[in-house]
Amino acid sequence: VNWTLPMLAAPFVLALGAPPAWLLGGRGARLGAQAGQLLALVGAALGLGCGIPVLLGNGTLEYNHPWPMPFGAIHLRLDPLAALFLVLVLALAAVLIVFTARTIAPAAQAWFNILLASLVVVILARNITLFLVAWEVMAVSSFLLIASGRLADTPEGQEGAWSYLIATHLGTACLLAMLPVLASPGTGTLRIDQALDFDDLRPGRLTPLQLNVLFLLALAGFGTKAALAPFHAWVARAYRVTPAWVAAASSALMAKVSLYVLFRTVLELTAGHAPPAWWGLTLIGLGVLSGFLGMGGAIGATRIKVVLGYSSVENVGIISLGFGLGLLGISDGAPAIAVLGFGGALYHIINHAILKTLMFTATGLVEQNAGTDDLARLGGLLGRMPVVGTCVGIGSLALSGLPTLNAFASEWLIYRGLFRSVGRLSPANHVMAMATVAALALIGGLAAVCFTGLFGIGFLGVARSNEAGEAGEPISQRTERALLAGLAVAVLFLGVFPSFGVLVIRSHVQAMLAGLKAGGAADALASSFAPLSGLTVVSLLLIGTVVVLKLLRDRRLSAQPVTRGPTWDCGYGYRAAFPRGQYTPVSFMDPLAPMFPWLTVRRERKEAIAGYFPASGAVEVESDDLIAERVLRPVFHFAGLGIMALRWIQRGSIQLYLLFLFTTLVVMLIWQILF
Amino acid sequence: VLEVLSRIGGIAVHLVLLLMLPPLLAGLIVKIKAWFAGRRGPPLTQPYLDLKRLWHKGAVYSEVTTEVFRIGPLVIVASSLVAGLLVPLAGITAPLHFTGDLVVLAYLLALGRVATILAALDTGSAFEGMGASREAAFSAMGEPTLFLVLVAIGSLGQTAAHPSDWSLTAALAELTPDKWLIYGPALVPLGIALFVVILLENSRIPVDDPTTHLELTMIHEVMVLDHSGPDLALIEYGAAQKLLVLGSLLVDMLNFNSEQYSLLVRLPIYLSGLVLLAAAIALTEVAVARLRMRQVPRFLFGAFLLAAFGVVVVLFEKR
Repeated sequence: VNWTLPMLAAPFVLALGAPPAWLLGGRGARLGAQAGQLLALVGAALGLGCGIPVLLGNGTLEYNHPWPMPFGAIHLRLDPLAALFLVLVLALAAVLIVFTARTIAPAAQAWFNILLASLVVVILARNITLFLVAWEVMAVSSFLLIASGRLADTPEGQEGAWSYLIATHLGTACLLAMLPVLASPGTGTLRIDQALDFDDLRPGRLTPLQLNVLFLLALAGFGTKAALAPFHAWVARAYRVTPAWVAAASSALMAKVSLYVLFRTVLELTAGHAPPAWWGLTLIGLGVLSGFLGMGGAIGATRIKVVLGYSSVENVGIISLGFGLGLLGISDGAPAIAVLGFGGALYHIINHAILKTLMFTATGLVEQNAGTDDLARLGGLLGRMPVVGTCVGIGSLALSGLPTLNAFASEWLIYRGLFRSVGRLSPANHVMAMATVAALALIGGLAAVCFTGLFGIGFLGVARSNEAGEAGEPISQRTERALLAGLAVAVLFLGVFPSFGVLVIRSHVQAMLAGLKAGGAADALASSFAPLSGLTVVSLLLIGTVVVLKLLRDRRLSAQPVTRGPTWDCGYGYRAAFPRGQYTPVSFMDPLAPMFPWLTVRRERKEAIAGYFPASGAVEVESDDLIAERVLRPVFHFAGLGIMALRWIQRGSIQLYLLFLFTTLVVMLIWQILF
Repeated sequence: VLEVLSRIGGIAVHLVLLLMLPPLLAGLIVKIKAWFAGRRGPPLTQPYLDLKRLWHKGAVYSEVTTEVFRIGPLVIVASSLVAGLLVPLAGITAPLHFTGDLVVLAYLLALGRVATILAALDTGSAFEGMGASREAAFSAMGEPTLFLVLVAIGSLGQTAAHPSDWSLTAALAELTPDKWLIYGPALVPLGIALFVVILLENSRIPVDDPTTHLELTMIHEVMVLDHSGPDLALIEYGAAQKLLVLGSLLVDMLNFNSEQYSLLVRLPIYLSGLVLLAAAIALTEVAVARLRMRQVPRFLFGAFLLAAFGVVVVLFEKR
């Protein structure tokens, strides 16, 4: 069977779903949205249909056709690594399509279709122009989705969408800057009518300086969309206002695709050579920074979506750390470290994508049924929303990096890589590896605090507001709940049986080792993944022990009096004020937040308590993103002052603008003739 | 055949120690503290009697609580139990050992902690929320120290014989007396750092005071206020077991256990190591007062610096 056709058809069918959703108005609107969903599912199925065989090792699909754009060609290639991400993205996209089927607005459905089509092209594109076009379509459609929430018209909502738009375009600007770097003197072969492919970004063709600059530009450009620190400042503002499922698409699909393109570009820039050691170190450094800034932001946040957004920053950091460690392993000729780093990064990408789909969609159900995702107004949801609550509980434990769940397995691989680096890599890296272990341990500890707080405050205890007290799980949402349960089972399965999970990534890790000078790649691959079965033993023992203990305890209790009563609460026994007396997200983080003043911007307003019998007291704590407040705000302030000086050009008359265009063309023509 | 039998015997001894010893260790600390205070103190078997009494009592559950509250104590015991299977006791090869099990050990302890915290938050009580919040914060700050100690142990165990083996069992087996002669200056601060982690993880003075009477000053005890009967017994048992597991890690570092001696030699050495540890904890509790909450992080940071110092010395010695 020739699978090239379905590969080409997939993005078309996905995009084809948009027009009906746009065009059919009035009574047909729902029908249009349904047509969009149907075509999206068909497109996803087509993509999966050609992705899965390639992932299983049945060759590579390629399509190359000329395209009259500067440096352009319609050049798509579906190789195993692309197939891994295509399958991951489309499978999770299918979950999101079904999940949103009942509630999505037709316009949002249309943009979602466009977003999915562009994601497919971003994954497959081998031509740089085609890639940039798809990348921009992805940016714009996701911006429109972020701006489609019900908060879109509020100042908060506009600020969120606006920050995202600025960030994504600054990222694209970095990518566009890659073109002149490629064209700089020395290579000379870059012609505008010639197709420029990613395959041309290779060490033999480019000077070391060009490679280094390209690496940094790719890091900033793709890092922005993946929300790697310090390019993550948009996260808090955008995720606060976006619909939960859009956040899922952003965090689970777009961020992962960005990481994929980043890794792919970096690997192509090295193409079979050992990368400079500072590349790996930079990725590790930014990974640690992401971990700290992500967790710092999450500690200060009180909205579930913002906590999850910052947690994505942290996890992207862990992934970047793992990938950097892999590169370092190649630079230093240490196969086992490379395998553990790359393997951990790839496995964590899969795990985190599933986890974030689970958590954000669950948050969507919380918002629908309890009216808000503000932890300070929730509480006790587990009792009233048992399925959603249990799924969030599993997801929270996984995001805390605890054993038997999937994220632990991938972090464990990265830890092992770091442990191995101590005393194995070149001496300067010993201290680096040691410091990174300590940093990762602290980040993991902070993540555990964050997510015990999220689950403990939002889903345990007593409702803090009437809406939360009346929340429930309507029968109409049973499809959504079934999807959640399925994702939660996947989280558990990939954690208990990680040996199965890494089967998918094994060959990709092997391919990434191409630059390794020293031999022993095959041995390293086998010996690095084999101990994963130890995690299975530990997990099964844990689960088994819990079950046995439960049987023992319940048998004991069946013979003894069991009573129910109010919470003891040190004998205070008050009822009416009890829900408000509970710890809130801010008070839960209170011992921790002031200890990391360098991680977040924290403002505290306190009403001074005066006299022996104070009539009132109040404290208000607010946190903002460190980079946004301390770096970007001043930078944009001064940039704004500079740009104001050019304000006189902007007269608002269309004739003047046409004159500008015309003059530019004339100048370019003269340039062409003279030089 | 002999090897298999001795392995099975080793595992049996390990399990007996792991299951039976924890309450004794807890009782020992109380006893030694009492001696220092000039009292006779309760008998050493008191913790066993307490557990038995609690196990045979009924339970009261708050109307607010969910299944999380009931599963919590089970996870606490399960995590400390499985963690105990990874740590060699008395120099016996641990029943469970594989490359990278050091990290699993640290995260199993974290799992038990998270279970305690979630069970506490499930009651909705402000007091228990307070304890949960403190426990979460302080234990997060203790995590890097524990990991640095593990890194040090692991890199000491990294020898030509075990080039890639990073299991606790293999690494601790490498800590022979002659290693102590070379790495003594590093192992002492590492041991002290691990001791601080033990104090923190087990809610001892100066981080927490298990015997105070005022809930506002507690961390661990205030989190389990609402547990009663068999659940409380499980929590107490799990806490004692965690002390034994982490304590054994320290004793394993300090005791010059070596495969060349038989179990009959190693067991008394191990047990006297545990007695010394109990004495050290008791002495600390007698000698210093609980720190103010705001000062705990400084104390933990000090331990972190000691551990970092130890690791750096190990790394430089190894070169």
